[in-house]
Amino acid sequence: MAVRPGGEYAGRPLHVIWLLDCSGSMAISGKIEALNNAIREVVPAMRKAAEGNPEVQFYVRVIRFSSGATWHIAQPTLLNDFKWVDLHAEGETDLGQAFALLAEEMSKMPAEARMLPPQIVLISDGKPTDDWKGALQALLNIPWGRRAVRQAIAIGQDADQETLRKFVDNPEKPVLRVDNAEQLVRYFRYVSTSVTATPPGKDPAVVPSVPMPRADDDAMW
Amino acid sequence: MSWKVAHACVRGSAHQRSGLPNQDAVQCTVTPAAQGTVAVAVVSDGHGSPRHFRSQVGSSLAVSTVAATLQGFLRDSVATDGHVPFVPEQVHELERKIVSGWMAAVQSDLENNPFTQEELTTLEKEEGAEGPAAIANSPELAYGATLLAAAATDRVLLYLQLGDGEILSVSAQGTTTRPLPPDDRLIANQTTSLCQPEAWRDFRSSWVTDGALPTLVLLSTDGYANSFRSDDDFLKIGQDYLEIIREQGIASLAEELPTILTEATQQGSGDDITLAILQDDLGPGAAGATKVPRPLMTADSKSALIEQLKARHSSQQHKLQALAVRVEQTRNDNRRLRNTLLALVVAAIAIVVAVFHSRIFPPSPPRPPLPPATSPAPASKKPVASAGSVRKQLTEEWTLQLKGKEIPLSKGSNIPSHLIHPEAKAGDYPKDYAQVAWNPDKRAMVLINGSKDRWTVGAGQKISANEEVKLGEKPLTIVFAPGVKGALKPVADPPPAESDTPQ
Repeated sequence: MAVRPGGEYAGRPLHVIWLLDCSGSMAISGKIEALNNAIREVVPAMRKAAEGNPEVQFYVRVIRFSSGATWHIAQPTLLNDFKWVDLHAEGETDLGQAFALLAEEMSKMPAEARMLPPQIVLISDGKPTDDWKGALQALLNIPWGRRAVRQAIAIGQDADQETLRKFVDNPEKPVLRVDNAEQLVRYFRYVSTSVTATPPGKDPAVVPSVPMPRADDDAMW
Repeated sequence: MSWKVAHACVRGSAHQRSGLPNQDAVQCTVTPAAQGTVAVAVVSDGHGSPRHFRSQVGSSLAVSTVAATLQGFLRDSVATDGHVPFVPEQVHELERKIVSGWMAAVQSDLENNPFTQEELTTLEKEEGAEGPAAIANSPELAYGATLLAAAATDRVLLYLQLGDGEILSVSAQGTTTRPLPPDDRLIANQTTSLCQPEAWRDFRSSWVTDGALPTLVLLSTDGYANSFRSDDDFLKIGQDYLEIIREQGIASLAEELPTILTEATQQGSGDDITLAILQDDLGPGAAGATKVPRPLMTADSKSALIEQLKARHSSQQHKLQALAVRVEQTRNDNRRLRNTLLALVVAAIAIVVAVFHSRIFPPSPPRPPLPPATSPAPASKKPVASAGSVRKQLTEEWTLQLKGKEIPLSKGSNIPSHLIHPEAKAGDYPKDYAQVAWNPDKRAMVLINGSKDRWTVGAGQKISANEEVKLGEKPLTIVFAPGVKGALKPVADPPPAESDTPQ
């Protein structure tokens, strides 16, 4: 047969979006350095896990929020092309603005059946300083915002776990609390590889093949 | 006319790696009828998540029960007494019958093969206690599957769908369309299913007759469409399969289908892929087609066709009318938008003029004194009271009694400095000692202290430079400077005219 029926084949896209707290408090006790280092370790682990899942194309984007919110990596970037530029910490914790920026982007995503549910990971060490409730509701009102797999990591004892829980809005996905750099790497890797290691089925990933990390390390934060 | 079929069903590449079975199923049949053939193609996709652990059985039961039901339906309702087109009630009844037939088959399978302890333990390991509880409550969940079906005689073609997947119809010219409306719920791996309560409510269905019958019908599970980069890339399969069938015939294509679909799952979605093709006569010129002469039209069939064309014409006219209404609505919207933009431009010009007024125009002569307090306010300054409105009107005019004089005040009025400090030299005080203005925050008229004097209002409220005192309906006394006391009184509004009174 000369012609293969149809146009070009492609794996199914899965968008991963990280919302990272870069407020002034992240500069204390080396938290922002720990986050930068964690990302440098997490991305290779995601690539490796994704090798077992060649039919999915993973795209990563990053929003930073402090006084306001901006895209740190605006372009959906394939894992193999992902390069990390360090974040710096200063200013407030404008989580509401991060939700608004994300909602604006997600409302533009096409309602295509081939797109797998996006994963949003929120990492924060403090309490929001702006009006986040309305912005979160607006995000959850968007089809992809509602159907996204939302997960959160709380850094240290000052993180507002209640806000993070409202963002996750799923009792099956507890907010993960980390108290030192090593835990941050392990939990972030766990959350991220749980998505890249799960083949596309009829449901979003719920049972990753990566074991849950232990939480018996020394607390620094 | 005679229908031909081809189909293939391949296990997904991701299913192979993770050890999941092929959960798709397909069944196609072509049987001779009184006139031509009765063809049925049924495709089903068993759900992938742990609680649907018998979905490969569920999809197999779906295709076998539905194929039999559809054949019976066509034989009974169409092939013998020729009721074409169907009435919607017939099709709704068929949908209920399909769901109850599948449920009965599931029930029977469960009686012969009860859930094993191993199945339930695996489910609990993967979904927690909630999984086995859901299955105990609704055992059919274990068998959950979608359904796509096309059933055709030489005069009518019926499409049915429940859940995700794609049905495409391809015309003799290769134009590829979706005969069923989209279902917005089917994104992000969500699907409607045979295993849901009252599943018949989620069916999508339609049918075409005689002259509108397509040349090809393609039914595929979602693994196929999800393997393409875009929807356009997927829709191209219609034209391509038509060309392949025209060149080499459907039997030859059927042999190649497993290879085509295996490549699609490997380079695309990784999911199981099933494709069923129904092929009508290709018409003259097709290399691989056997030419079957169409029977000459009888008077009866001719008048039936005319009736159908009339009905189609009337339906098209209805759609045209609806379109005309929408065009008119869009025009109105555009008009409103244009007016709004015009108003915005005018407002912007007004703001610019207001800001640069003093530069553009020479200073205006002193404002002429306002009419005496007793005369009615100019009509244009009065807020328009709408019929039935209970909104209170704001006081807009006051008189200031000072040193035996009566000075009218309204928005924009100034109290000149020489009235308060006649002895002062020019330059000691600004020209405008105080000004009446609208404060949008307080939603009230105010008198702004433009001087350095500290006023005492009423019982003792102090108003320093650049501060303001609210003007309302009550009279006020203001001590502007030692020994300079003024009395501010609102000017009473005239009673509303007869025509303003609510009826």
